[in-house]
Amino acid sequence: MIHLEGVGKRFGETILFETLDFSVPAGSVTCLLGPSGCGKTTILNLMAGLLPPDTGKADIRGRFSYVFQEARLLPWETVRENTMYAMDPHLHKRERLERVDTLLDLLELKDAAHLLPGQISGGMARRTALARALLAPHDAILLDEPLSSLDPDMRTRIVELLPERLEGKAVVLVTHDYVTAAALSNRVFRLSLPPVVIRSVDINDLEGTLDQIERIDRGGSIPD
Amino acid sequence: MISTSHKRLWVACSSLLAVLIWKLASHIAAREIILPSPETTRLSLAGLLGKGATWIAVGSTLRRVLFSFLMNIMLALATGVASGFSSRIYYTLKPVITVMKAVPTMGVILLSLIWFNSETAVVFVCTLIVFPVLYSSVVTGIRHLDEGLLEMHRVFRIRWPRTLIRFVLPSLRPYLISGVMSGLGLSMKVIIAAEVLSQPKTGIGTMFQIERARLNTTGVFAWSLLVIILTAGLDALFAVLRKRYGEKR
Repeated sequence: MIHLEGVGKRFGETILFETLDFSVPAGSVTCLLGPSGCGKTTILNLMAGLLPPDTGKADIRGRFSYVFQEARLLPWETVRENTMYAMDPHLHKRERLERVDTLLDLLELKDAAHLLPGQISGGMARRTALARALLAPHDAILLDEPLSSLDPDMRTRIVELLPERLEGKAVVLVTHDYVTAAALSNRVFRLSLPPVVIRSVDINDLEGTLDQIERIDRGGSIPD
Repeated sequence: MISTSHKRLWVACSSLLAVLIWKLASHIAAREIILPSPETTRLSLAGLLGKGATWIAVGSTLRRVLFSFLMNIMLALATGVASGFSSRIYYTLKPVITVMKAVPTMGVILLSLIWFNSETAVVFVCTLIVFPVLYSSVVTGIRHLDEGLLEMHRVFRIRWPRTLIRFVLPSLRPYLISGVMSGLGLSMKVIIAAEVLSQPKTGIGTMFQIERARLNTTGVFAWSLLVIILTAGLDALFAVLRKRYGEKR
């Protein structure tokens, strides 16, 4: 579904990747871990076709959905309108409304459906963006810290509803959160600081890896 | 910030001061044909308001102003959005816009009088002057579209009619509002100037020319005063429309 082949990318003087090879097949939930500034969002943007690689090739097929790090909602449209914004326009209106209302209900956004992004909390905006991405027609979905700024109860609830909704898709998940990573992913990779090297992580070793990354983010030394 | 009643007080004081200076100047000039006094101007204006011909002239001018203004807004939106998104279109239009901005108004009016009838000439001149202003604000608006939201539209492959209606046009609103505010007053001035020279059958400019030919300075003053009132009225009307329909969100 997603193939990055020998992709090189630099920002000014900083070489982010020299030759990056990475694939995400359909039906896999691939989790990317790594300290801040190691290029996780850049990888997502390369996959989404928002950023052209300097060298190599990004072979992308099918339709993408994306939960950006920021909510990116239209400020003059309500939560419901924003949620429906990327839906397939060929679907019958009643069908569309039904799907939206079900999801808004699950995400506890029903009472906020008529509010504008400026009138809701950051966590609600985040959930609205997640709802929009889940309802957009897609074969692959990119999730950049989808559950940050949500309270633990909401997190657990979303972690429970996601597997069913993501089934059969190519999913790339960027997260710092152990619970999300452990519950959703079936492949975990760890990125080093630039120039980035990607290494597979044993899911059993997830906790240790996350601890290490947290230490690096706090300014600690860089192991291996 | 000062309160509304204070704002009104300041505006009233400043207007009163202007009238006093005017009065004093006309006293010094001492001849109505050079500088009529506020009182005679007021009387002359009252006389104008009572005449049917005045309202026909006002109606024709307002019709021209609104027609050319709406046409220019549409034109500026279409070309401005296209240029904002495509640098090829932008650079193709660049010399045209530069010429439009630089060309002397009077030269254009005289030329258009040779080329067109007076009715068309007035609208043509207005387009030449007002269109570049509106076009520039639309292009600036497109340049300032939210980058993150543009990316969102690309990823989700939102079709362009939806992108245009629900993202681009609402984003342009502040730029359009400032464009309308400056463009409407400008249209009024340019249209009247073009009417003075092109002499359509009816119009405020035509009336100006008639008063001037009669050496009736008071009449010219009265008409000027009427134009000021009309422009202020248009601004106020736009402000009301904006409050009622523009800022629902």
